[in-house]
Amino acid sequence: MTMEFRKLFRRKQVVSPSPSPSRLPEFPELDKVRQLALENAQKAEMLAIEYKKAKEEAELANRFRSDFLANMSHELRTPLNAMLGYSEMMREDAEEAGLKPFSENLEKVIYSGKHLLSLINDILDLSKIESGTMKFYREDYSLKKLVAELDDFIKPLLVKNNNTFKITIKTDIEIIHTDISRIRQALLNLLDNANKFTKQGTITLDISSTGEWLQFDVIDTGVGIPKEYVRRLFQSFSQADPSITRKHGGTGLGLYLTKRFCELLGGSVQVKSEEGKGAMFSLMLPLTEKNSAHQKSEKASEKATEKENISEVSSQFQNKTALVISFDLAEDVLNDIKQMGFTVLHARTGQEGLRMARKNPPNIIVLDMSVSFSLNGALMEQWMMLSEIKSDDVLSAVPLVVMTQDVSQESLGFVLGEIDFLTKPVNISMMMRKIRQLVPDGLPTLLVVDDDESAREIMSAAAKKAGWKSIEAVNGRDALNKMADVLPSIILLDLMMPEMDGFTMINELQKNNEWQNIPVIIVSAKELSRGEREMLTKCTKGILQKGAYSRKDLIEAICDQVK
Amino acid sequence: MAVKILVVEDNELNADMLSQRLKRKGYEIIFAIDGEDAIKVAKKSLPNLILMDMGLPIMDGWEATRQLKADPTTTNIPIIALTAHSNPDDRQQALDVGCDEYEVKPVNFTLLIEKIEKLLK
Repeated sequence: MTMEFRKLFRRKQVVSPSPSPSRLPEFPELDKVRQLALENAQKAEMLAIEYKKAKEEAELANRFRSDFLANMSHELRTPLNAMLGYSEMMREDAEEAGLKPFSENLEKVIYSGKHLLSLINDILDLSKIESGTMKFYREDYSLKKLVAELDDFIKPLLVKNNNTFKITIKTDIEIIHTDISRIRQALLNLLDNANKFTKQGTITLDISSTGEWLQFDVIDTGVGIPKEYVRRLFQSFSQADPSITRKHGGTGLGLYLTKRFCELLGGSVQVKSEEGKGAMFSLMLPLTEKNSAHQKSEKASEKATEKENISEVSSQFQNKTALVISFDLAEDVLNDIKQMGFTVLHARTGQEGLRMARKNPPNIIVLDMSVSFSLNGALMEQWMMLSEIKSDDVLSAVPLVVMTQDVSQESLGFVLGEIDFLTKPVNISMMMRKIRQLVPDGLPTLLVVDDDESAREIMSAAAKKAGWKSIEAVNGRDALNKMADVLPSIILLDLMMPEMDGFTMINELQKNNEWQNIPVIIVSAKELSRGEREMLTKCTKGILQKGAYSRKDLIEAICDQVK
Repeated sequence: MAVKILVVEDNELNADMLSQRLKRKGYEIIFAIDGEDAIKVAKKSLPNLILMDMGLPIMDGWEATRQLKADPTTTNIPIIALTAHSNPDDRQQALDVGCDEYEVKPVNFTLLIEKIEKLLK
């Protein structure tokens, strides 16, 4: 809609003459109205741009927060891994040596470590849910086995508050199809809570089913929940009563995560409670067609695509998925890819594409950066998308074909990994891996171009450690001078530098036969500034279109990448 | 002869911890610090089993597993993937590249030993 509007508006701007009293002297008001309309339209467009910018910034900030939490959780878990391992070994030693006080204290260290781990996991889960990157792994699982595991878990905890535990199964369902680790986590949390808030009482797990739902009721005879707190129960970082945190511990994330897991798996969680009369938490999971409506439609479309392909020539890439990200890619290109046997997923925006790719990493991504796409103002987004893919742990390994359509020639141009991305601060192991991908043989000679001395040093040091050669340059001009003496096998290129920036340097590289095939890895801040993106977009036009390839070439390129 | 396990792990402390614990169970341990190294060591020493961390420098565990499984001399060595990402897709991906088993870090040692014993049978 907006695009259409803008297009129309642009055209209108060109045709609509500036107020010309000579043509319509009898209606001077008309000119005024025209002028006003024009001004208002301009204002509207400016507002639209500002709105888009603010929205992008907000989304970016949110993503950074999620990324930060995810990285942080990962970093925190690694040392914890070692601490828990060594502690468990020491406990074994202490037990063997008969040193009971030692083994008892070590048991407490291990308990605390595991508790810390579960808190970190909760925060990681929260960040995934909030950023929409939570993934589920659905499988068939025995209900009996699940119940036995819950029983094993809760039994040792009952002693503390002197509770008893009862299980009643009122269903003949044997196998459930869901993300079992998430449902287990949700039920353990409900049982653990019930046990925490009940003293010398009974915890009951009651499992029943109606036609469409499997229901787990966790019933306790504990303190219950005051009415005014029930509503806040499922909010993140909230517990019914702040003093509970001090008494019973916990992050206040448990119930929120329990609820969100169930909802994302197509179910729900409800609570019934009165103060002093215990509580009942009901967890419902859908039974029919194995899972939620969302998954059903996914399956249906998969089947449809498969059917289409059976009649087609090639089954070479059966069971492989190609994700095509393009606003208006011609149907025939999509069909070409389908004919190769791929299941084709089509995303119209970068954001949508990223979501789809993260949910189900495809075997290849075809990214359209064509001119018509840029009219949508989306080319910027495509650049973000490209750097996003290239900095994602999983997705960076997926082969990527970038294509651009030269409208006037009706032919396709594309690049294959000619430009790769690394974001600052540079992850050295990822950098080494990328270099190895681009320069598979021999000892590469790196050219590190960056005006920041410490950044240069970090990258050079890593290369030298691996026995590779490294040349450093402080800007594009310096780099080109040094390249006249030594031809590097790969270039690590910062974008913003004094004297000659990265963009100009890429342009210079393209002009030289000897230089244009040297792989370039752009090392940039994760957040490309507006200026950087614009410049990158401008200068890539040259690169992307340097070969006017045909559609056949595109198909061959995809074949090569996936083989 | 003792059963030989190749531990591929780039974090020194975690590698040391894992090897100490496995040695106690009577296994002989050899090391590799990245994917490339793992392929070299595996071909030379032909271990009975490989514990492969997936996030490795230079060549990651995914690629190393692919290559080991594609090579007739190493294709029959069972590989257990170890990964820090509690990401459900990793499980499928680990099996897809040819890993025989999968374990999320921090490792539950009892479970890991069970899996090792099952694969060595």
